[in-house]
Amino acid sequence: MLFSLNRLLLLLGVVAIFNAGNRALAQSGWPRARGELYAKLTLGGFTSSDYYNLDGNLVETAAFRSGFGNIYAEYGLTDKLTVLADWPVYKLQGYETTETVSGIGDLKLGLKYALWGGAFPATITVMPEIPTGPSDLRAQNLMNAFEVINLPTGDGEFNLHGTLAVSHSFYPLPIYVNGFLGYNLRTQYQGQSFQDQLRGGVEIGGKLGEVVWVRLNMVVQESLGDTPQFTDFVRGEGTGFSGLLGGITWMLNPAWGIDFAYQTYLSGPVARTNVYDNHLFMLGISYQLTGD
Amino acid sequence: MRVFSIVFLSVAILAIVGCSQQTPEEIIIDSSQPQGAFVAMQSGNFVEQNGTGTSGMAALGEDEEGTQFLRFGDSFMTNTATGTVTVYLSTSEMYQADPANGNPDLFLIGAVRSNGENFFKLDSSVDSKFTHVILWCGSANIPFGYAELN
Repeated sequence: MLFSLNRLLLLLGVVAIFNAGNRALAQSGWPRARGELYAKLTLGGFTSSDYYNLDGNLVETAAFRSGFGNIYAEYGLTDKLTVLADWPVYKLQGYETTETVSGIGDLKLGLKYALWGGAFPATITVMPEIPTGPSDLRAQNLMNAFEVINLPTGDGEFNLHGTLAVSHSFYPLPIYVNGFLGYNLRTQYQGQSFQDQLRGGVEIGGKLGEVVWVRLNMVVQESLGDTPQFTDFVRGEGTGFSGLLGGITWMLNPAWGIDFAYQTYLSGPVARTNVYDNHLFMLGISYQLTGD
Repeated sequence: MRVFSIVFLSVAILAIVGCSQQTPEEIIIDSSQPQGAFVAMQSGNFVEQNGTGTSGMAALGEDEEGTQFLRFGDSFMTNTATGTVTVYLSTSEMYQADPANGNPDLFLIGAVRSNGENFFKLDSSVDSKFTHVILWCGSANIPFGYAELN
């Protein structure tokens, strides 16, 4: 075996779930070892005309295009404390009827702390999200010069993600499972409050052959509280979904890996609200530096 | 002669100051707004479409100078946070574009950028065949709402 089971579990325990301007992390219960670095660059995109509005009704719109480049990194400060960063460094979006606008997204920076180890290790993660992306970005309509649509790459608010994650290894079988529950404490933009969001997810993964790992991940998200004050979909207000992600990682060597993933939405258990239904394809390259 | 010069200069200064004080205040007439009272000829309430929160009243009428306007009432609301929403008069509640034939079922009014009262000056008289006001998002190609004018 090229790698130890634990290292691969650590590597594969970090899976990103994307949707249009809104991301959830399927956290794992394993922290990084002291001095260990993991970084991943992901490119992805989709085109969709199927928009589910705040009432959960399907609305056929002009084709909406979205693409992104994302950097995710973890570094073990100690064996129990890991620092994390998650940043869409480039996002572009537009309709077929408009010009395409682009910019950076909002930066998440946080800490993951190991609560306990053993057969069911658990971590708690706190990640503030800093509104580094432009909160207003207007795309000109290609037909009518007076018409614009706002497609910001940031949501304009400071928010806080908290996640509790538990994992389990079925060693000696090369299979693992992660489960997480997360809360996104959202604040306000221009004096109007956002709804908080509750997320949960399960991931199961396993090894095929010597260097290939596969995973299947399901994440649900529900928005909480009163009727949304913002009705524009780009700020993620009122968003709900059940996302299914399948991924495969091919380890080129102990340090470098190539990852391909596909994500789509399901009709339940949480209905799609304020999202573009999509078939999202992602290509990633990962790097891992062994610690002490 | 010296006394006469002083008196003459004083009178001239007083005249200049007096004139400047008597300059009437400049009145700017906003021709995009009704002059005098707006009288509604036809009106109707908006019907929301596609969960955009559209509500309120639309009215077609004239000001005291006979200029036609389309007015949205104080309680008018729609989803303007996404950008502009285009206002049309239409022969039905449906947006029926036919650019090859000059869009005979639509009459472009302009873009609405804010909630609350809005006035749209109509430069030419409106054909009586237009019976509805339509709010249309041209970027997403979806209707935000309509009002039937009665």
